[in-house]
Amino acid sequence: MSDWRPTGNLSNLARRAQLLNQARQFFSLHDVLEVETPLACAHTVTEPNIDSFSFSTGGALRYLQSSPEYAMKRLLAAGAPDIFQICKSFRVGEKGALHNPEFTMIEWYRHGYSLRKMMQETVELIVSLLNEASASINVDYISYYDLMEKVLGVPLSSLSEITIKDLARENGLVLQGDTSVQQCIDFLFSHKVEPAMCQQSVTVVYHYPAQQAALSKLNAKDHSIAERFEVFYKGVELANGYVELSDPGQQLDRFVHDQKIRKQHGLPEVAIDQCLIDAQRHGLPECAGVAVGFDRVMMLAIGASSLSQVMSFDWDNA
Amino acid sequence: MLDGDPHTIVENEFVKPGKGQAFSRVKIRNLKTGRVVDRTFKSGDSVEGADVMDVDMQYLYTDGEKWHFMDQSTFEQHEADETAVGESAKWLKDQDICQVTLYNGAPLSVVAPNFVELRITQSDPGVKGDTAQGATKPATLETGATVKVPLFVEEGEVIKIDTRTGDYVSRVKES
Repeated sequence: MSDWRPTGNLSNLARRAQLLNQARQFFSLHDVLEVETPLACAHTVTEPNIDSFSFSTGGALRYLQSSPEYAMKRLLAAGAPDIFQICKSFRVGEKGALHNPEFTMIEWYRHGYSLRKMMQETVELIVSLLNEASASINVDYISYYDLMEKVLGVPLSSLSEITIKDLARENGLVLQGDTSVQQCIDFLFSHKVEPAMCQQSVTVVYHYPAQQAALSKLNAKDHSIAERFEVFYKGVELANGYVELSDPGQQLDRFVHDQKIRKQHGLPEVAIDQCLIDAQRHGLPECAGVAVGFDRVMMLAIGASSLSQVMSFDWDNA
Repeated sequence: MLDGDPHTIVENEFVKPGKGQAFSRVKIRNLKTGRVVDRTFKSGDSVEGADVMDVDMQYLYTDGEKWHFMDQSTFEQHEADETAVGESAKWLKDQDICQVTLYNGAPLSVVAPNFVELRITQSDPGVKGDTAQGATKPATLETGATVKVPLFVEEGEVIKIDTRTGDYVSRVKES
């Protein structure tokens, strides 16, 4: 007999519908317009750590989008007001208790928002979905470097490359020849810093190192840090937001850099999305944006232990 | 293979930040020592596979230093040393089928059958009048192992033991 039954029980799915509704009400109250953008596009992200599903359409490849970011930015450049989208996103190989290769993302953009304002609005939505009385839940705001220093006991910048690698090894990372310092830092963050975060409060980490800026603007006063934040609750990453990089030149540089890294690691080549670059040349307005992993928020809201419990059918059952 | 020893993966968890390197957080058991440790690998890393396989073998005899087993399908004989046999030694009876883990063709560990039937070679008679529920007494078995048995069980009887816990299960009627 096949395993035909849903992985999430029906009461969880009913709760899911309520929360999706609640998210839409949140945006409606805040005057943010709902949009839908294509999931199967001619381009995808160059980001080396994200692998997009691709399929042939009899010639050119199409990619299932790992996030609706590029298309939404093209809408903004074309003059769209504040916009949000709730859609499926896809990432190859990301399967685990906190990952499903097909997942639901809530993404939105706000004109003229500062990092602080965007962080606050993100927390507001997450806390309302978690269904916690806002008064009973603490929110800690801490910068990336302060958090690292708090957990490691010393400033990250004071550690040599060798010390960082040793520290990663002591914490259980098996270092192979090509392990980079950045990979060791990623490891320390997810294996040492995340578990050390307060379980009772929502933690917002901001001002990531410029090397991890992705699509965010660099800080105007300090170019070594980026206007990027992430939101964590119970050690689970729930959101990733930026004050958006609007400079097409810088954007192109970062994409080219991504391509170089892809080549070094023998990853599939990914062409740069010229539409996004052209949209930015036309002018992406000053704005901030964020993506929230809806399934994860849902999982924490009902106290489930894996994403499959809040999905109708998880990847293995789909 | 890790640090020169064969390991088996007990648990594997996928860990990945939204932007950044993916990892596999694994719990692995050292097949030589039985110790379980946590290790993390970068996604895509590989390690050398260990030449390990589990084979059902019949236990033949021990000469005091080595324990001798026979592969049921090839009739090939293998000697296992004390480290490989370990705690299982006290449950081994001639002709019982055990699971032997071979590493590079030599026995690395031996798992006794889940249930074994062994004769009691020594046990004092239960004290009359002591009828308290669940009261037990020690009994020595033909293999030298000592287990707790109910008071009504007598010397010379054959009993069934769960080797995973070392608990008495029942008496075995001899036909």
